[in-house]
Amino acid sequence: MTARAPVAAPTTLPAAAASVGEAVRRAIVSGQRLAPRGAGTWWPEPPPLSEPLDLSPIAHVAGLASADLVVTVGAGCRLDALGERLAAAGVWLALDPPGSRARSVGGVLASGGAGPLAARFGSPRDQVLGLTAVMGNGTPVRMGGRVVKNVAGFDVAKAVVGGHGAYGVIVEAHLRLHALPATDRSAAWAGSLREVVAAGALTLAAGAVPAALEAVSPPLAADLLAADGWTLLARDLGGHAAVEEELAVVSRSAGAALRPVHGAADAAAAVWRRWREIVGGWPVLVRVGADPAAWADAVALVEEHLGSPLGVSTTVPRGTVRAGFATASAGALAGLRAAAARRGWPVTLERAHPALREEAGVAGALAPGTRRLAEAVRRVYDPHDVFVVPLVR
Amino acid sequence: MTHTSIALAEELAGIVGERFVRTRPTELLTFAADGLPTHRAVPACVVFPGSASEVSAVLARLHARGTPFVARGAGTGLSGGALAEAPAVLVTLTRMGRILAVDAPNRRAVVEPGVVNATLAREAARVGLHYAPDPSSQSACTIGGNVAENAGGPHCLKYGVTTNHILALEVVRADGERVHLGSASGEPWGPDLAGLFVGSEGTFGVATAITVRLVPVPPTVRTILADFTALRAAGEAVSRIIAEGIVPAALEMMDRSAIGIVESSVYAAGYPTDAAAVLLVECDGREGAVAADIARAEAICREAGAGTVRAARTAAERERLWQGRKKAFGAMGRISADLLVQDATVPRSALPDVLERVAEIGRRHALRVTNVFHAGDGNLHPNLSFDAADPDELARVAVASREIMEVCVAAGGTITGEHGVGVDKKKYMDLVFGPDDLALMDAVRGAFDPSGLANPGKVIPDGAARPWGPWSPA
Ligand SMILES: Cc1cc2nc3c(=O)[nH]c(=O)nc-3n(C[C@H](O)[C@H](O)[C@H](O)COP(=O)(O)OP(=O)(O)OC[C@H]3O[C@@H](n4cnc5c(N)ncnc54)[C@H](O)[C@@H]3O)c2cc1C
Repeated sequence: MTARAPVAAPTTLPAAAASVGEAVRRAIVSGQRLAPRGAGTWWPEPPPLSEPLDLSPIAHVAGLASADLVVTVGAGCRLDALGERLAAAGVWLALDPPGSRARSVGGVLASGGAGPLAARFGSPRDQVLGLTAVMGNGTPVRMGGRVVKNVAGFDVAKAVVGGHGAYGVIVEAHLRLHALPATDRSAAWAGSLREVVAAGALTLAAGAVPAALEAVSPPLAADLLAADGWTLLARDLGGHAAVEEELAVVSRSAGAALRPVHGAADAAAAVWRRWREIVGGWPVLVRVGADPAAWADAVALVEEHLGSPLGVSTTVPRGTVRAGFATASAGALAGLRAAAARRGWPVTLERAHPALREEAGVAGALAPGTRRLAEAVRRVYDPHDVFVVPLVR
Repeated sequence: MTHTSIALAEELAGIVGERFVRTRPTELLTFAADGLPTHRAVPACVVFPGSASEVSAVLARLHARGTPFVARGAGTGLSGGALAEAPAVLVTLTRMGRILAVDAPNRRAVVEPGVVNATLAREAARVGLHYAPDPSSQSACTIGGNVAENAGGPHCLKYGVTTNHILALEVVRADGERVHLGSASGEPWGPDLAGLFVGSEGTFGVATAITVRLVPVPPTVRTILADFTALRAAGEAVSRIIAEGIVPAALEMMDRSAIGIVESSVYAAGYPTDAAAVLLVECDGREGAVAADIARAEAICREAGAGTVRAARTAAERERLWQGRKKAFGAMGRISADLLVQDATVPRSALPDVLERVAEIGRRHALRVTNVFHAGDGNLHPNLSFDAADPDELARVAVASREIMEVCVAAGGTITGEHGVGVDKKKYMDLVFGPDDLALMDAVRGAFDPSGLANPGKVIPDGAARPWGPWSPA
């Protein structure tokens, strides 16, 4: 199926938003359901019975104000292209989601997933200052603004970010930036699962706040670093002194129980790049929002329901557990969701082939009241149900 | 009191106990204002529920009668959000002041909405953790009020505002239904409903339990105070510090008027009264990093034209440097009958120009403008001193406020950075949002509260939102 491009190459926001709005209205009239599409790397195949709405032409980078640490970007702009523009201006966007660096900004924001740097910088919701998005009735809406502190009106962008396209098509985003760090260093230690769990807990108890603290399972550790066993990877970036001191604190806690893995420091950037490629390449990717102190229980729960994973990676300070599989059944996923929900842990199907996504939904096991509210809010953003996203099952 | 309100008060007393319903006119008057001096409203009655189930029963009762209600924390809000006009009932949450859990291994806490911000900060500190958002009103304001306003504070520059620290919420909807939004890990269940709720100013429902993220108490804190002979120079120093990649924990500015007011009050902190502005720069973190950042910030201040730079050598000296900033509002309150604490955000690089424009607006309307603000975020507080009993001055305050908002919006900013829209800023919403933008907001509010009984008349300007719903080809 050919992707429907909203417009050849809109250069101004109103034109881009208007053309997306027209595409949505054409779809409403024809009864066609739309799947917003950025670079097409995260969900390569469109969902069944949908027409892709191609946002890749809307790729402008505007208003790059390095003194204000803000940039305005078209949704179709690729992360790698944006990164280059930002680096030339001495700034960067603190988002390192799994997947190809060719992923589009809009796609990354819509899927809401963060990478290891979420430990310090938070997830996409924390980077977005404002959006222009087209709602399911074809209306372009501005949300938030371009400044770092803003409480004018309700924060309606929150549903769009992480809404997987079910809450509107992102056309443009205003994003928070950071000055490029002087130093970016990593270190790694390996041991058994129990030892890595203990080391992670000790590190948090010591008050460490590294930019990333990721626990990875043996196969992933082997791929990333040729490490043997469960591995705790720490990364810090910032001023030279800050990085040295932070990693020293992590090292005292982690190094007490684990053995150092050599090579992490030298290949830091490459290791994290590989992390994104490998984790983003798992055909089925589930994400559990577990408790930081109980992430190993979440790993066990995932294994109990879905079997042995291709790999596991946990953002320890946030308790975010990711596990990859070659395939999974909707029934097993529902079982995992029900069990995880009993502990208060949401399970997000971050990536899957269209049939599984359709059957299992991106999210599930919502409490009845939460589900009713989510559905009511969804009807506001997409009154015609034009966006074909199986968000909640 | 009318018969209906007597009957209602009795019904509510049946839920929360007679002691916790106030109906006498003199009692109601004490709840007729919040921190916004220009507006007043008297509620039909005030009810103090003691638990989430009492909140739920109260709201269900009001819903059945079609009676509107307004949630209230400490009433320190500066945009009039907690004002309730009869027949609306004020639901005050100060009895719900328990910290339900401080969970050190998971770096989070669960609190009832009436917990005072500073109390949570103190309790968390016992286990080496810290609740970062610190509004200047933190010794009084509640976490529920902070959630509703998405409050900020001096240290939000480094740590982020309230929304960046809220993991999960229990909310009672306007019909009394209790729902759970978000999860304790911060991961949403599908759409980010907790994120939508934060900043909803009491119009989406009542937060009855709040799970917050805590951060480790930084091992080292260092503070300097730099004084400048020109406001513009201080503004330029702010831009340069940020652009260089230093992330101070706080970066606050006070202008000549503010310095004068503080120094002639009981809160005198030893600020130089001949300075046009002072900058308070605080860095926190690990020792070497903090030392390097403070040294660099000091050098930037000097390059930008700072006269003297004082460094606090002890905790007591640090307290003293902060005293003037923290007590500035109290001191300002003493120099005029009334004080309008304005609030807007601009891009940081626009600060020098905008500050000059604001000063010019003050001069033109013969109003004293005092700037005390979160400079690192570009979050201005141009405070207008006035006497509400003087109608001419009141009118000038209104005109000057609008002009200040227009200048901030024209510079790429917005009409409120942390105090919210409430009733006061509805009239400026059209400066930043169009009818469709407002329509979506209004519709989202309708999804949370179809009855429209939760804090009616706030945030969305009357008649400004276009109708929202399905589209049909004309
Ligand atoms: C001297 C002074 C300094 C200040 N400094 C700052 C500052 O630095 N940063 C800042 O952000 N603000 C500041 N403020 C403003 C104010 O303190 C904040 O907005 C604060 O968050 C309000 O909390 P409160 O408990 O007083 O809420 P209230 O004023 O009682 O209520 C505020 C709003 O919240 C709603 N609400 C209250 N509780 C709940 C609940 N449980 N569920 C749902 N809705 C609820 C109310 O309906 C109302 O709309 C300052 C105020 C003063 C007087």
